[in-house]
Amino acid sequence: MTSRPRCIPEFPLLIERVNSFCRQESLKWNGWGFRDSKFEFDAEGSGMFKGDRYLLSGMLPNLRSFAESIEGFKVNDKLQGQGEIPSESLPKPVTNEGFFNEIRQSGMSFSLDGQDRLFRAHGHTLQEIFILRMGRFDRIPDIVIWPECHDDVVKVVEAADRHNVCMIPFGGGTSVTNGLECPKEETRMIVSLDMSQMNKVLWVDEKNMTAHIEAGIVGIDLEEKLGKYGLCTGHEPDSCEFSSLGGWVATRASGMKKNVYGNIEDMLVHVKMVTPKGVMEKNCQVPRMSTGPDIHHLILGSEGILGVITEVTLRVRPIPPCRRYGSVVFYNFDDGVDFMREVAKQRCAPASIRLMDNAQFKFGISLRPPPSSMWASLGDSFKKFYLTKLKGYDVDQLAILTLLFEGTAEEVAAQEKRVYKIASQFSWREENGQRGYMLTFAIAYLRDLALDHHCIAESFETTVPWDRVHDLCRNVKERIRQECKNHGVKNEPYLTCRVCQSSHSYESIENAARDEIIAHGGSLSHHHGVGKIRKKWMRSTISDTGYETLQSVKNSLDPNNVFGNKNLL
Amino acid sequence: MSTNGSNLKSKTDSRKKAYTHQQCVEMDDFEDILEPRRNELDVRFALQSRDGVPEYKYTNKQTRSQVNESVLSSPRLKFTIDKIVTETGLSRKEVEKEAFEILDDMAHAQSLTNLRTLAYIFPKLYKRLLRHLYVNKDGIEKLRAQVKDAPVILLPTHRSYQDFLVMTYVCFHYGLPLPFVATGQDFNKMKLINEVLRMCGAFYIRRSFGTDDLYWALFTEYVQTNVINGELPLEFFLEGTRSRTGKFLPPKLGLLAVALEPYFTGKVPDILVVPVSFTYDRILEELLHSREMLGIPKPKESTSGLFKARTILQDNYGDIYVHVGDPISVREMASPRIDRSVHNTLPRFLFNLSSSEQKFVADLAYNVQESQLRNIYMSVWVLCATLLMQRPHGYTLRDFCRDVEWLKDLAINLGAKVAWPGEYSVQTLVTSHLKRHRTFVNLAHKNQVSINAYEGSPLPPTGSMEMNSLDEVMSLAVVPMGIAMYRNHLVCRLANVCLLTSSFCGTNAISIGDLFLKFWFLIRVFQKEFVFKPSVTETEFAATLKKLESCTFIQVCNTEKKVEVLSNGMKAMSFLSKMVEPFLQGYYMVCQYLVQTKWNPDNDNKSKSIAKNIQALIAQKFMNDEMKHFDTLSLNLIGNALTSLVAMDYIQCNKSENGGSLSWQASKVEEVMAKLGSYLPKLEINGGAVQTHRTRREPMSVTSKL
Repeated sequence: MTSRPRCIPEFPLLIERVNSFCRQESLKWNGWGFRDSKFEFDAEGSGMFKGDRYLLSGMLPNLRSFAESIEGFKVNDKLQGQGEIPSESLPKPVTNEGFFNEIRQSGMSFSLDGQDRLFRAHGHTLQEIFILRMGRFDRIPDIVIWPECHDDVVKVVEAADRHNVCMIPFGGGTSVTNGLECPKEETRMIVSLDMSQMNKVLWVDEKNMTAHIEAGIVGIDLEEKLGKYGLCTGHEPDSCEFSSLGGWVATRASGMKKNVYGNIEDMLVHVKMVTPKGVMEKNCQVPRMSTGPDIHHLILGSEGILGVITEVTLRVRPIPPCRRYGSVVFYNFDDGVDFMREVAKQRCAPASIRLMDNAQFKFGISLRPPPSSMWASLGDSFKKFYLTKLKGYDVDQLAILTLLFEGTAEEVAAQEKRVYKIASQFSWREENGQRGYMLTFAIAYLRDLALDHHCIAESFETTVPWDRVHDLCRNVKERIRQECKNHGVKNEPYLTCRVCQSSHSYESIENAARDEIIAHGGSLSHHHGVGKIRKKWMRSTISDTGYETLQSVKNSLDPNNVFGNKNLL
Repeated sequence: MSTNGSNLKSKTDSRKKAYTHQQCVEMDDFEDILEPRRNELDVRFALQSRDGVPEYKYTNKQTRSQVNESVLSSPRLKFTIDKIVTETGLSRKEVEKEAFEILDDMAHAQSLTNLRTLAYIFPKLYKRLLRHLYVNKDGIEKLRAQVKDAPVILLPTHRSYQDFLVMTYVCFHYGLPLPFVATGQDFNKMKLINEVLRMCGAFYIRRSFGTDDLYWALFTEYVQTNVINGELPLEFFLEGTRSRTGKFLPPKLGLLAVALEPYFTGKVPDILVVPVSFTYDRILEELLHSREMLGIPKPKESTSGLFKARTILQDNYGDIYVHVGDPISVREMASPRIDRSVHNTLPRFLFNLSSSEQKFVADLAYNVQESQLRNIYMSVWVLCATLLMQRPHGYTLRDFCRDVEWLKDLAINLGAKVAWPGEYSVQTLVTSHLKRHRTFVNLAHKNQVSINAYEGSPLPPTGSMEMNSLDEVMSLAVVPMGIAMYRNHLVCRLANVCLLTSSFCGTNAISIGDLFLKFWFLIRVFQKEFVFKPSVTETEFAATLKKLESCTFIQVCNTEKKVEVLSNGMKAMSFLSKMVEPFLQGYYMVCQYLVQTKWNPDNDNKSKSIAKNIQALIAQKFMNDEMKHFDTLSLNLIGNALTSLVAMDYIQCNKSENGGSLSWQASKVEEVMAKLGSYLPKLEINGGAVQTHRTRREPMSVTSKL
């Protein structure tokens, strides 16, 4: 086992399985990730990352001064959110007797427990986390059901359609689009269909390099199970410790290594979706076919409004024997963008390439571990002196790019040579690439730290043509700054941008930011999806005709609106 | 804000410097920026540090050659050159060479060294030519605070060649970024001066370049590159050219659209548009403008001409007021109504504005002009000019001073800003202003005020002015035209009110409905003359009515739907309506010509020739002693009248390459002529030559007696 390359070796070992029935035992009920992992300032105000699951765990001596540089961040003042909400103060379940009896008779696992229902009532938008910490949800699911196989899902969807209940499929619960939010005005019984027990790799076809997998499996579990065959999918979204295969398909997810492995739609060979009108699937498993519009593209991105994704066949690959991290520092963000454009033009993008702006560069520095020795510390300050004083670089302009190369040793060496050659014109190399790369998994934990200390944090994502990258980054930040001012936000917002791959009163500020993104040729979303927070732009995004087309698909597949989460349309 | 309030606001020591304005509705915190120059060494001013100059936070500093290089290598130029090469068969080298030359001829070459030299010379000139150069400090501070947020466009009014230099001087004084300025190609023909101006930041553009793709692409890319770089504010004149009439010219939208497109295509986060109003006590080119309006040809801009004009440097030009208006954020104004995503499916090097964006650009232009107009200060001389136009001959100084003060209060009550230094007596103010304008006004008789017959020479004591030829009429018209130009400042500011008072047509009571229809007709007729926003509507009517009501000039009886003129308002109402009477008279004469002269397709029907003919007809009326308003001879007025008749579809204009040619039917013109006639006092329309004669000559004899 240890001699085999692991696909994601840096990931926390799965001591608890994320896909237990009672997820809230290992996962935070009111924040991101594992209960034992978080940023914190101790009594003396020293920053640290608690727990030992991540590479950056331990003391972070630079975190405090970074945090203090953000206006309004009070290191010594921790905001106390409410404790766990007692079950009796949660909304009472609405029950549909006929449906409930059928479920009881079917022998499927279910729960009416308040905490189980609350855990499945939300995703991870700022608004939802804020409600968990400070408020109450108006509506939460009335029952949680755990199907264990495709046929269970078929049964439960038929029953739901027959008894007129509302069903919201639940995968990893990492939605950041209010996609899991229960519509307030829903009076029917709301079923949260928790897919976590459907986590088996049903078969692996090493000849055709495909694997048939149940949709409830979470990313890390999938990689571990495929790893036993020496295979991987290469799909690695930031949330892959927690998000599920079905969720990826339903939101058209994308991973950090999409340059080599593709986005979820490129990996997808076959998929089954259970709709109230029956199961939608193709009759073959082929790389492509010319048979009219691709029904997979109705399933991809359907965000739970058409049916439940139960089983997926994915393209798999051998685990790459060699994996190397790198990072490159640019004198400014624009140089970094130009570099990425050049890499894309020469088509030599490594598995992952992501550029972070100055703000994230500084954040990255703040997460450096304590120097291993006095010499290392001296070395760091000498390097800083050399760069800023002797070479005249502006620390407030520097941007950092992290790289991940994957393949055989020779392939990796060749790729590195090529990429660094392009980079050599306007940058220098930094060591510590892996730490920089892993930063991305920590960022999600950061919002909880910010909320603990009176700050809010949120991220945006989009896709934009090359010529507009720079304008978009600058103008969106500028718009947010202006909107904050107009809304009387006292402190200067802390804004940062990241460019990934070869291709970021609060609600109105967020809306203005999204307007700004769209005005600059950005897409409504690159990989988070639409959910409910971006619905209002759907019509203008895909034209009235496009919208009506989707609406009529929804009407004909789900005339009773069983899948009534009100996402997308 | 009352005088008390404003005094409280300004600190005691700055009160001396700050110009206090009695009863101003809004108080602007003016300071005289020449005063420090009178007490300090000019060389210190010229060499002042420019370290603290605020800067747009995303500024991209480029040298002249870097800008030019990025323009020439831009996708827009590449695309255009490709197109030209394919269409014309010219070699790429040739087209590129032409592009390089055009751009080199266009681009500014602002240099701080050059500007410092001028900053040494100009205070010396200004101290001699001017008494005060007032700037509203609060406007400057508002601008300074926002410079870092977005690229700035400065849009001053254009009344004089000096505007550009004064603006740059003000920016230099306050340590603001120095603008680069769109200047007409005609200046580029003046040797030496063109290069001096270029080093001040002037860039040269042709007046029209409709179908020249290469020029259009270069111009667009050049302006936009500079706007996006955001290092220097862009300055240009919305009116396109100097207004020779003291009135506003309709805004030209081309350059504004080009300058704003980078916002619509997301190349800048915002653009700040800053309206600036200049008020001159005395305009350098007053006589030049007056002659030009009469069609006496304007000398070509030439360096030698400029030196000949150096005698003007020995005169005193009084005060200049520079009012920097509140910056308008294009983003704030556009965000609720403009969908910028329409640009997402086209490459951004193709110039493209949606129809709603085009409408936005026009609305913005009118908003800017509204702000400019609101903030123009009426000088004491403007008040004098307005009075003198109605009573050119014969005013005792005492009566005149009384009337000036009366008009000042009237103007302020109606919302105009008046530059009225409270510390002087009316008589001191009036005489000092009249002396400054002795080209126009005769003060030879100590207690008597009247206008000159010719520049600087009084009316003959006999009082009889025989006018026997067109030339004589024209030369006698120069002075009244010049004075009318100053009066027009006030007419323009109070245009709504004046037209509403005219709409009473001499009656004392009228139904609201009739009044509105009468008013509405005038608004449409004078659309071009006074540049009304295309969206002037009933709300505007109601607001104007309210203004007169609050002055207790009229009483609106809502139950009977009637408006009555109150005795309190008789004098003011009649005065205000007389302010626009020359315009009505002029338009009436235009119609009269069209009715009398049957349209004949074989004649030269070009609008320019017809305007000349109309002018000759009006001049004939003067020879016959049937006309008293010399400003009806203005070619600008006649041209506006024709344009307006075309716009209202009373006459037709067939556009051809060498200007439009007109066609009309007498019966249709008669219709509008009758309408116009209804606003004019009866005896003047019906050829009451004898009567008119009387009214004109009578005061003159008063003068002669004294």
